Amino acid sequence: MITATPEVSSSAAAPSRARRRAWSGPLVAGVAILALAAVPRLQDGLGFSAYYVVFGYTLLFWITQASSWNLFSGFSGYRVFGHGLFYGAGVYVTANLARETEASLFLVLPLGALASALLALAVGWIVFRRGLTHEVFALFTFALAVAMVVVARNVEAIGGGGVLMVRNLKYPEWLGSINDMLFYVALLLAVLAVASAWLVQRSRLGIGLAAIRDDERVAEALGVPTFRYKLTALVLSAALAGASGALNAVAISFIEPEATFGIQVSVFVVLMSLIGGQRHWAGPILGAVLITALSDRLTGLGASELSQVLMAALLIFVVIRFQGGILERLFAVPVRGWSAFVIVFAVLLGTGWAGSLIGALVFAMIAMMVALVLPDSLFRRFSVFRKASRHA
Amino acid sequence: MRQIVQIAISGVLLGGLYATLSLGFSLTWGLLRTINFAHFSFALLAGYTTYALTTTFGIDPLVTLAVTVPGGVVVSLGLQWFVARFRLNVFGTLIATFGLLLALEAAMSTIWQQDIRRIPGEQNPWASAVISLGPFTVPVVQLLSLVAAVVFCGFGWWLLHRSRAGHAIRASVEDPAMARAFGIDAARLGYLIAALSGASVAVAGSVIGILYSLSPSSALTWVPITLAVVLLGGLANPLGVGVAAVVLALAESFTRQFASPSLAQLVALAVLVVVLLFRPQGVFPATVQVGQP
Repeated sequence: MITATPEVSSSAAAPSRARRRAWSGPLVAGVAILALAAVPRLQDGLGFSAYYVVFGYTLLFWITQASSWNLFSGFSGYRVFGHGLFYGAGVYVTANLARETEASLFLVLPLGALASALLALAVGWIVFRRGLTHEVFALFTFALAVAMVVVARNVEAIGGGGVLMVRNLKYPEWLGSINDMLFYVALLLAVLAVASAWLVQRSRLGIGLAAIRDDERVAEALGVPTFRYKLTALVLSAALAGASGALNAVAISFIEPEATFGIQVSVFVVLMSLIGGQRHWAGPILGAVLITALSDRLTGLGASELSQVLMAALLIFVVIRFQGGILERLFAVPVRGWSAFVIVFAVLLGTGWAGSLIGALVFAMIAMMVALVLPDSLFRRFSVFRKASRHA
Repeated sequence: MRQIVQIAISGVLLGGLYATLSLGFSLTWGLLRTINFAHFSFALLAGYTTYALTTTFGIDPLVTLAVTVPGGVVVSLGLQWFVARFRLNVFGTLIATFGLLLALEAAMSTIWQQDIRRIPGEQNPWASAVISLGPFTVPVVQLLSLVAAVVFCGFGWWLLHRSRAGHAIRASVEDPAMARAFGIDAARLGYLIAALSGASVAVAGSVIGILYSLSPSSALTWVPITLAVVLLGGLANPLGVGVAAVVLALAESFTRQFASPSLAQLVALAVLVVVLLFRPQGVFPATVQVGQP
């Protein structure tokens, strides 16, 4: 099974291309971050509505959550099915700190991360000490998240029983309005999460995790410290989720056990990573963009049941027809995927048929997925695609 | 003393319900390599079916079993067909059945709304029917669920350990290639297990519909209990499931009585943690030994 990142395999063949590639990644990332950071400042000048800042926050939140999930679960193959546990720990830290006093932003984020990390340490110690199978691990983390609802409902010390209201946090003046602040901090956390995933993937830890994913016993025999690696990655993943949860508590401001530890976060991060691709740091980003934009449009239609059915259908579709996710297919047939995306996106933006930027994004990504799952034989007769698909 | 015996009686009866609910989950996981999250939706769906038939047509709640049990069997067979058709691996089944659970939850909350439903008392004589044994009382429906648990677990044990079909099933799980070479049709035997699972979960669901109130999102609250029962009892071990369910239910009942009701909901989780820490292979042996893929 091939586990190495695509960069590694191509760099051996073409050194000059590899040098170019080594710079292009950070360059693209830097431009993307700067462009995103400019959104709140430029929204009036560019004619963006204020809604894009709110949507941007949601998108960045999900990128952070999905990347943090994938950092452990996707890389190691031990799928956490109760990521809401780590997210919720962060939410409850903010909710409790901001309940009595006006807490500071710079206090709640590290504390949220710390609480989740400690929780992950305990969970990881329980499950990794004795070699548990992947299924038991997935179900156990899910059961923990379900049981956490009971804890949050009943333990007085963390505001048991009721709904907690989060007052405004204290944060530096120059971050602007509350929505701008949320956007900037979420951007920071998303960059942190994606960068962590990127670094982990290229580090010894990431290679060790990939070895664990492929065959844990062989990895163990070859000297990979499996227990330590799994625990480290789980704690890092939980800390990122916790910090992001601590921020999200401010955004939702109305904290309730069922919604916090419920299945939404746990299921969405799995769906996003599965649909985007779990073996690469960029997979969860693609998945998060698709799912966030899609559910944003569906919520706009006011059909929550329909949205849930669609998510369910996507989960089933990914499992039976789309193993490996968008990214793996995109590496195989890049020209086909990107051209479908760009053409549909440009047409929809130009004509305005999709109604908005987000709608165009949804349809363009769906078009890309359709192009990627269509059988290769359909594309053989076009020379552009033939050249690209030879690398597959 | 009298109080303790009464709590023990209700604990054992509750154990019957837990065993009926968990048996199918354990069997499909251990023998079919299908982790069926939708199992909990199937139970809830059976409960809602009982509710709907009772309230709209005035049918006796227990008679609705004649509808829910065949229904459960059909749904379970359909799922097994789907899993076999697309050759899903264990994690694939977990994800796909979770999708099914979400879809069923959306369907149920469309039909029966989000609010809590319960069969009204006048249409549901069984909810309060009790048998008096001297100073102790035994609720009839709970007794029936205990009987169902004994029947299903006993049948499961007989099937797996005393019948030719059971030997074939175990052989085909432990060594599929060799079993095929001996002419064992694993797919057909898989449908037998799926049918047993569907029948038992439908009974459990209908009993839940008679005894408790229902809401579309309540399916997942049974996950910790079922998981604890399945892991404690050993995978696909019907007798282990029965004993583990009774032990857990007794622990819950005593906690509810002597500590607090909210703490009782965490008993399953505590047991689960202890099991995972000290005996991750379960207290009772798994029926089949499957090598890690």
